[in-house]
Amino acid sequence: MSKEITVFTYLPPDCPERLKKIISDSVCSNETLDNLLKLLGDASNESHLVNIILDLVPIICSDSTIQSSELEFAILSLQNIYNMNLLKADMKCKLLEVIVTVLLTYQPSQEVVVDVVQFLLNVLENKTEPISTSLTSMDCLIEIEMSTQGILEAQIENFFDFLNHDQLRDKASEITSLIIRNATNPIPNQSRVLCDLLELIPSLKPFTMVTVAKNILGLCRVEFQTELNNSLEKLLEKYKTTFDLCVLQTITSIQECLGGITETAVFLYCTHPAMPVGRNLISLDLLGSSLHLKKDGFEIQQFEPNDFDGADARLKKLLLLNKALYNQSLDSAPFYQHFENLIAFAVKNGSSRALASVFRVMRDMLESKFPTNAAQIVLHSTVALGARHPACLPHIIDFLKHFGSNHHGQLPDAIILGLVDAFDELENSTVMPHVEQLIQFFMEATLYRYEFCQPRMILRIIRNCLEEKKNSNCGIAVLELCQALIRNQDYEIFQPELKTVLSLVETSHSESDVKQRAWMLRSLITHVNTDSLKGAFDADMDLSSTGKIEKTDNPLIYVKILLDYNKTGDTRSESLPVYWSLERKRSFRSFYFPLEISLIKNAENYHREFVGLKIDFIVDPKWGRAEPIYIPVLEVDQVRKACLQVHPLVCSAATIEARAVMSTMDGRIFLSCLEPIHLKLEDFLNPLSSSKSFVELWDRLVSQSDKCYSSVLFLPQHEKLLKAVEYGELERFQMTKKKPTELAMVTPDSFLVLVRILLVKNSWNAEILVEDPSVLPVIHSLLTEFST
Amino acid sequence: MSLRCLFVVSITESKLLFYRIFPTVEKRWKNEHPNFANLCIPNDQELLDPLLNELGILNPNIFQITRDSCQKKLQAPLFWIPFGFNSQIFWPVIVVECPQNRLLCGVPYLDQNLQPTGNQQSMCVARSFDVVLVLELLSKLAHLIQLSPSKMADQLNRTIQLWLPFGRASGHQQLELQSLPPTLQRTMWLRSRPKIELQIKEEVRMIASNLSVKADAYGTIYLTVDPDAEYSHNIKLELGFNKLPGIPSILFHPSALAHWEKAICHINIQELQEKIFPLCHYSFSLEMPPIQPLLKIRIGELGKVSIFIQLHLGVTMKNTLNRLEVRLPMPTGNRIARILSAASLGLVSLIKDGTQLLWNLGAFASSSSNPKLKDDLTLNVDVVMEKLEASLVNTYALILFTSAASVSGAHLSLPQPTEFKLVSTSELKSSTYRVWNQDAEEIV
Repeated sequence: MSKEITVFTYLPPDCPERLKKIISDSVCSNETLDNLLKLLGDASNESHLVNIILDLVPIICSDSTIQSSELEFAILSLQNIYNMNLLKADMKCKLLEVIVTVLLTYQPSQEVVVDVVQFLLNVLENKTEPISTSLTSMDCLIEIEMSTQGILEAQIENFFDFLNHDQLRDKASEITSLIIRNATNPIPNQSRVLCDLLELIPSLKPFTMVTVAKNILGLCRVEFQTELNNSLEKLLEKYKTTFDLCVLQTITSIQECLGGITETAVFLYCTHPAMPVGRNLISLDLLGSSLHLKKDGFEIQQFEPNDFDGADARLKKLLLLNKALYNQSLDSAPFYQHFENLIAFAVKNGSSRALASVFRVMRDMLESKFPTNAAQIVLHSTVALGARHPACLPHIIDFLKHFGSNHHGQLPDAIILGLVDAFDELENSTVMPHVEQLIQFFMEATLYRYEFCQPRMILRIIRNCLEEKKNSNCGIAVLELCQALIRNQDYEIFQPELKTVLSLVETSHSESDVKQRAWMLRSLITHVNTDSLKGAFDADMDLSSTGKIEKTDNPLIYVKILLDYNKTGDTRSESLPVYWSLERKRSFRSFYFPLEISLIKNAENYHREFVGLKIDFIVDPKWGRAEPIYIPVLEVDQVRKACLQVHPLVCSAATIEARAVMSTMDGRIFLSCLEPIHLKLEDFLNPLSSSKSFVELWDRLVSQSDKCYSSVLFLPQHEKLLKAVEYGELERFQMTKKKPTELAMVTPDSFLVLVRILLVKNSWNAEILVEDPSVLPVIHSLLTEFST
Repeated sequence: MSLRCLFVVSITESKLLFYRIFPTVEKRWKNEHPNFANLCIPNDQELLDPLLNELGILNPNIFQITRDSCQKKLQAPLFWIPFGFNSQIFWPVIVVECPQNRLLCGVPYLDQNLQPTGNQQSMCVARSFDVVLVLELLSKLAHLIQLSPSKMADQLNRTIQLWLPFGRASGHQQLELQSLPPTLQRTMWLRSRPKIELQIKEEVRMIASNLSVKADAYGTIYLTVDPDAEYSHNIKLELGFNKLPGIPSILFHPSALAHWEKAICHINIQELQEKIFPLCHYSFSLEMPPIQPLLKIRIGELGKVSIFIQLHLGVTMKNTLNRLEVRLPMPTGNRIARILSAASLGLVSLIKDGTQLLWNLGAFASSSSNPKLKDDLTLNVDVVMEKLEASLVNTYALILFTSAASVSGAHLSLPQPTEFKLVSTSELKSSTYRVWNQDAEEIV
C-alpha cells in the first residue's frame, strides 16, 4: 500500500479521476502497472492521459517488489502499444524513452536487450516514421550501447547511411563513433569510417562534435594526419572566434593529436572578462593540462593575473604561467612578482579558499622545481605568512603534512625552525588570539627533529600564553601538545619547562578533568626516572660541591660538530638560509650546530651505556652563552643527534669548552672534560636567501642613507681570496653561482652585510656595505683571513 | 558524457528547489562501480551542507581539509564534495551560478577513481570533455533558473523530458525552444513583422589607487527571436562600436559567422539553433573610467574620522545614470558609532551594524533629476568610531551605478530591409568599481 501512496505524490494536480481510481483500486505495484498499461492501450488518443501514464510507468517499475518477468512483460506491452501506431509523434518519442528506461534500470537478460534493440532498429528503418522518432530511437540505442557495451557492434552498418542524412547526421555520427570506441576489435573498414567521421566533425553541432571527438581521437594515429589537418582547418576557419567550449575543446584536442595547441580562440577565451569565471577556469585548465603548448601560440603576458582576478583565477593563471615560463626557459621574475601579489591578495581577502590558492601554487612550484629557487621562495613565503598572519597556520600544517615526508629534504624542518623562531620573537599580544592554531602547529612540529622544533621555545611560548590568558579554554589542547612532545621527543631534555606548563594548566583551569590529567602527566614525568637520573636532570645542580662525582681526564664520549650543514646528499636540494628583510626586528639570533654524540670505546672506557648525560658548554659570558644538552641514554655503537644552541652577543670566532656529567647503570657518576669546539667567524654569519637579487639589495641599502655604511678594502693577496671563492669556501654567502664574487650575509644581530670583490684599475678591492658601523671590522677580519 | 543528477539550490534559503536523478545513468554508474554501488547521490541537507561548505559559502574563513588542502587541486567549476559519512569519498558536481542567488548543479558521470585522492594527472585529460559537455548543457538551462520555483520545476521537467531524457542532449535541439518561458499568447490579429530583440548588457570595472587607475569594460549582446516566428533565411546583422577607437576583443556564438570591414562587423547567423542566446561577448580597456572617484580618509583625535569622497561624472554618464550609490565598508574589526556631520547631496547613513557607510544618490540619479547633477559630486563626512582596531589605510569605497547607455556605443542594424523588426536596448552597470584610500597619511 505504501507504494501506491508514493505514486500518488507523482500525480499532477490535473490528473484525470479515472487514473486516480485505477491507482487507488490496485492493491500492489504489479497490479497498478498492469492496469496502467491497459489504460495506456485504451486511451492512446488522449495525449494528456498518455503523458501522465508514461511518467508513472518508470516510477512504478522501479519498485523492487516487481518481478523481472513482470518488467519484461511491461516492455513487451509498451512495444505493442507503440506498434499500434495510435500515439502522436511526441508521445511515441516518450514511449520509446520509457521502454529504454525500464529496460536499463533493472538487470535485463541479453535476449530482452537484443529484442528491444531490434525493435528500435525497426523504428529507425521504417520510412513512414517522423524524424523525431527516428532521432529518439537512435538516442535510445546510444543509451543501450553505453549500458551494454558492444551490443550494437554487429549493427554498425545500419547507421552508415544516416551519416549523410541532414537531420540524422549528428546522432548517426555519435552512435557510430561510440560503437567503434566500445568495439573490442576494429570494425570492418574502420579506417574509412574514421576518416568519414573526421570529415564530418566540422559540420556537426557542438555537443555532437565534442562527443564524436572524445570517442574517436584516441584511435586516430599517425595515418590520420591529413584528415585531422583538414578537419582542423575547417574548424578554425568556421569557428575562428567562437566562445562555445565544446567547439574549443574539439579544436584543442585535435591540435594535441597534431603536436601542440597553437593560435585558437581558447587563448582569448581563457582570460576574457565577459565570460563567467568558471568558463575561464576550465579553459585555463584545458591549456594547463595540455602536454604540448606551442610557443608561438600565445603571449606570456596574457596569462599574468590582473587586479580584477579572484583567488581561483590567479591560481590557475599562475600554474599556467609557471608551466609556460618553464617550457620556454624564460626568467621567473614575472612569476615571482605575481606570486607575491597573490599572497597580498589572499591576506587581504582573508578567506580560507584564497589562502589555499597560495599553498597550491607553492605545491606546484615544488613539484615543477620552477623557479629554480622554489624551495627558498616557499620557505620565505611560508615563514613570513605564518609569522604575520597566524590565521593561516592550519594551511601550513596541511602543507607540512603533504611535504613532511623526505621528498623535500630540509624544507619542512627549515619552515618549522623559521616559524618557531619568529613566534618566539613576536609580542604575546600578537600571538594570543591565535593560540589554538599555534598549539595545532606545535603539535605537527613535534613530529620533526627536535633540534629544529625547539621544544623549549615552544613550551616557553605556551607558558607565556597561559600566564597571559589564565581563563583560556585551551587546556586540553595544551595537554595533548605536552603528550605529543613526550611521545615524539626526548622529553627529559625539556622536563623543567614541561613541568612548568603542566603546573600552569593544573592551576589555571577550573575543570577537574583537565586539572587531573595535568597532575597525572606531571607526576608521570617526575617519577618515571631513577633517583640518579633525577639528580642528573637537575639543571641547578652545582657539580663542584658534590664529592660523589668521579672526575676523569678521559673523554668518555665523543662530540662531533657538523659544520657542513649546507651540503646534503641530494644534489637537487638547496641550502635554506634565513629569512631576512630590512624591516625585520633587530634581535640576536640563536645559532644551531648539529652534533653527533657517541660513546668512546677504548681500554680506559669499558662502560657500554650511560644514562642521564648532561653536557655543559662553557663560553666567555662577554661572547654569549650556549645551552646545555641532555641525553637520557647513550649506548655503545649508538650515535645520538643533538644540537648545540648558542646565543652570541658579538660576531667573532669562539672556542667553546665542553664537559659532560653522566651516570652508569650501577649508580656511578662521572664528570669528563670533552674536546673543545672551535667555531669560526663565518659560522656566525647567516647566508641570505637568494630569493632577493643582490643588485636590488645593494641599491635598496644605498638608498637608505641613514642605515648604510660603506667601506673599500684593498686585497693585497687577492688570489687567495679568489681561490677560496673558486673552491667554494664562501659558497654559502654567494647569492648566485653566476656572480661568485658577490657575497651577502646577516650578522647575529640581523644586520645586513653586502660584499662585492672587484678589479679596479689593476687592483683588487672588496666593496662593503653594512647596516651598522660596528660590523665593518668583523667583515674586514673575515676577508683578511681568507686573503692571507 | 551523461548527467547522473540535476538540481537547483537556493543559497539564501539554503534549500533544494529542484532535484532530478537520471535513472538509466545512475544504474549504469552503479553497474560500472560495483564497489561504490551503495553510494547514492545525497539529497536534502546531506547534500546542501557539504556542497555549500565546499563552495566556501559556509565557513569561508575556517580551514577545511577536504576543501582547502593543498593536496586538492582546484577544478572549479567542477567540485568534489565529501560524503557526510566518509570524508575520504567524494561525489562530483559542476556548478553554474545563476541570478537570484541560485545555483544550477549537475552531477556528471565521472569515473569514481578520478576523485581528488586518485590519479590527478589522468584526471585532467579524461575529465575535460565531460566537464565541458556538462557545463555547456547546464548553460542552456540557466535561463530557466530565474523563474519562480514552481514554474522553474515545471519548465525544467519539460526540458529534461524533451531535450535530455537520458542525461545527455537527445539531438532534439530545436525542441528546446518549447522549454522557453511561455511568452505572450500571440493571436493572429497581433501578427506583425517578426521581432528580433537585442539586449546590450555592459559592465564596467575599475580599481583606483594612489599609484594607478585600471579600468575596463565588457559586454554581452543577447539575441531573442519571436518564438512563434519562422526563420527560413539567414539572419544578417551589422555590429559597430561608435564610442571605441578600435575593435574590441570579441567572441561569437557558434552559429554566427563574423567578419570585420574596418570598424563594422558583418554577422551572418546561418543556422538558428536557439531562439534566445548570447550572440557575442566583448571586452575593451578604458583609459578614462565613466566615473572617476577620489577617497580620502583621515583619522583625527578621540576616534573621529574624516571621510572625503569625490565623484567626477563624465558627460554621457551624468545624463544617463539611473542609480548611484557609494559604500564604504570598514576593515574587519572597525565599526562606526555615529555620524557627526555630513555635507553632500543625497543621503548618508550607516548600515550593517555600523560596519558600512552608505552614500545614496539614487534620488538625484533618476532621469528627471539628471540635469541637476553637477560634474563633481562631493561628500564630506565626519564620523566617530566605536571600534578602531585596524588601520584605515587599506580602506576602499565601492561605487555602484547603473546607466541606460553603453560605454562602447555598441549598436546593431540590419544591412538591408528584411521581414524582421529590430528592437535594441542597452544597459550598463558597475561591476568591481573600487577606489582605495588615497590619503595614506594618518593623523593620530
